[in-house]
Parts: sequence; C-alpha cells; structure tokens
Amino acid sequence: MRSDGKMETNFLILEWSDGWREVIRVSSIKGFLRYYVIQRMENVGRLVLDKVEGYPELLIIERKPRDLSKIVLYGMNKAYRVNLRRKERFGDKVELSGHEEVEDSGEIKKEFVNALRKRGYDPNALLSLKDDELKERLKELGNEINLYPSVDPRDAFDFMKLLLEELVKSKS
Amino acid sequence: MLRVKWCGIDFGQCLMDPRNLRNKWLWGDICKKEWKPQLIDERIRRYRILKEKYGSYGAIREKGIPEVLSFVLENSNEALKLYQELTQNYLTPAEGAIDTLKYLKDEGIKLYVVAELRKTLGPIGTDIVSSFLLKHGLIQYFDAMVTPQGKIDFRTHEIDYTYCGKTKEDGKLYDKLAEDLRQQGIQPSECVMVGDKPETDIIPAKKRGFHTIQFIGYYDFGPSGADYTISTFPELKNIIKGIKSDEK
Repeated sequence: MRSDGKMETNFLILEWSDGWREVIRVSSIKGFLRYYVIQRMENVGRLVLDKVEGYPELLIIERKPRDLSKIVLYGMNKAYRVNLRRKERFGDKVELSGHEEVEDSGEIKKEFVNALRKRGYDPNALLSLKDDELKERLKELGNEINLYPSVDPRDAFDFMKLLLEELVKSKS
Repeated sequence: MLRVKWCGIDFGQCLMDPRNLRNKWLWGDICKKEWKPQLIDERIRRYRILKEKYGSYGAIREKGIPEVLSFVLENSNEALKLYQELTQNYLTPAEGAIDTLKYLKDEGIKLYVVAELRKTLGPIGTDIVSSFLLKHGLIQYFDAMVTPQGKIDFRTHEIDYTYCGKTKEDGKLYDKLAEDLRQQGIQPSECVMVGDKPETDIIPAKKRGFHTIQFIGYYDFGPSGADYTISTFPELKNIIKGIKSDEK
C-alpha cells in the first residue's frame, strides 16, 4: 500500500527466447517466488457433432475422457457406445477413437420416472411450480439419477423440463 | 532379503495412488454436483494458489482444509463435504498393493500405516487414511495406524494418545514407535519402513535402527540413503520376508 492509501501497482514483463514480450499488471506484490513448468501427457476428449448447416459442433470433454462410455443424442433416438480401440500416432500425439451405434434404450427417462415415483412427484404439479422451486426439485432429481450440467445449469434444467413435458403428454 | 516382524507403510503418494486426482476432474465433479459448473475455473485457480502456499496438494489435504473452506469454497460446508467425499473417489490403492499386503500378512508380518495426519483422530473411517483403507478393503491387512494425532488399533478400535504431537519429521514418532514395538518384543532391526519422502519416511527411521525402503513410484525425491529403492509395491515381495516363516 502506498502512503496515499492507493494499491502499489507493478508491471510484470515476460520475455521469451524468440524476442516476444508480454506485460501483466500486478498489485501489492512483495517479490518473486518461483516459476515452473508442468510437463505431462494430457488426455482431452473432442466430441464432434454434425450440424444441419455450417461448421460441425466441437465439444471439449475434460472429465476422464478415456472413460466416456456412451453418447446419446436425445430426441434423435441415437446412441453410441464408445470403444477407443483405434490408435493413430502423429509424432508425439496419439489419437484414440472408435464407437458403434447402439439402440437407445431410453434408460435415462426410465431412471427419471423412477426418481419421480420415489419422491412422489407428479410431472404436472412440478411443471406448475414457480421457477426457483422447480429448479430445486429438478436438482434433487438430477442428483438422484447422477445427471449434472456440464457447462450451464440451464441445459440440465431444460432437459428435465422436456422429460416432464413428455411424461405429461404421454399421459394425456 | 530383509527378515522382519513389522512393516510400516506411509500413506500419501505411497500406499495411496493420487495420480487420478486431477484438478479438472475433482473440481469439475464438485461444482457440477453443486449445479454450479461456472465456478470450476475460479476454484481451480484458488486451489492452485493454496498449493503454492502449502507446497503440495497432499499438504493441503493434511493441513489446509480450513483454508479450502474459506479461500476456495466461499465457506460452504456443503461444498467442503463434497470435496472430501469426491477426493476419495479419485484416490486408489497403489498398483499391486493389495496382493503385496496379503503376502506380507501371510508372512506373519505386523503391518502399520505410518501417516503424518494433522486432523484430530476420531473413530475409524472419519479421517482420510482410515476411510481410504475401509473403502478399498485394505484395513483387514493392517494392525494399526500411527499418526501425530495418536495410534488407532484397528482390531480393538482403541486410540493411544501418547503419540500425540510426535511427528515423523522430528523423529519423535519413530522414538515412540520403537518403544511401543520393543514392548511387543520387536526390535527396530526387525522392522522396515516403506515411504517416499526422505525427510519423514527414510532418514529419521533409519537413524533409529529401522530398515528403510524408498518408494519412488509416484514421486522420486532423489537419493535418501534408504536400504532399498522400489518403484512398485510387488517388488517388496522380493525384499521382505517374515522372521516367523523363515524359522519354519
């Protein structure tokens, strides 16, 4: 802190062996502690979807990429079992790939219905709840069936709302 | 071949394989289970800052839990519970450890976990070490766990608090252990300590007459003066033999 009460500001200048420089503003710094580089083999999953128009959709899968076992395209009745048997090398890089189309058994919907039953929830009654209250119930149901939002909580809420709507429709 | 009656095994990064405990996976699971995936990056950043303060992630788990709560988790006890629960999901026994522990037990060797635990001991299953042993079915092979918080006898569930305050690093824990083992008719020369860190597992144990084996499967801290060096647990089968079975 400076005597006038303002934060001390410094600029960190980074220089690379090829002459490149970058600057970062830092404040209230006492000194340099350490610099280190982590070198490790990273597994990163890339999931690519074909789009109706334009470029493919590319999704990055960071959670245990080699353990991803199934991909379901809900609403399209398509499901794929992941089987990373194929191995291709490009220099230091290795790409593992492989999948087979399987029948979508509708497992997730069955589990969702069971979770509703277990908690005594009626799809119609849930859909008539206020937004905040509905979200709390949907979180409970998601936790029950091990279903969580990957990036945005709204995706999971909207998916479960869709399931509820389908259940209401199928009853009427 | 070492002929021993007692074998002590270090927990973190030795008996326990931490390699699956990746920040992106652990914090991803925690935040998603809280339905707040938007917090993942910031919490990882803060957790990495804590690592710089404590020196290693293992040290955070041993000593820094209050700061995980206040600095990383916005004082959410619910999130802390998830952190502790989900951390366990990513920790696995070292490769070949179960088979090796069975061998050592069959050799009639007493097995202790010797861990630098900082959290006050409670009933079995309430600390990170014994809950790990329970979860993976390893507790049946061990007779006791010795820590600076006390010794838990896994058979009687009794806690011996005379170990309190004695650490591996200052060596007093090994003094107490040697005294304890002598009372059971076991001399330090009939004991072997297996661990990865020279300053806590090898040097102080060796100084007190224990045989020592440095495990470098996950972290290699360089030469330590240990009697043997191993990279995998099954190698212990070629080094250790029980005294009783030798006499048969």
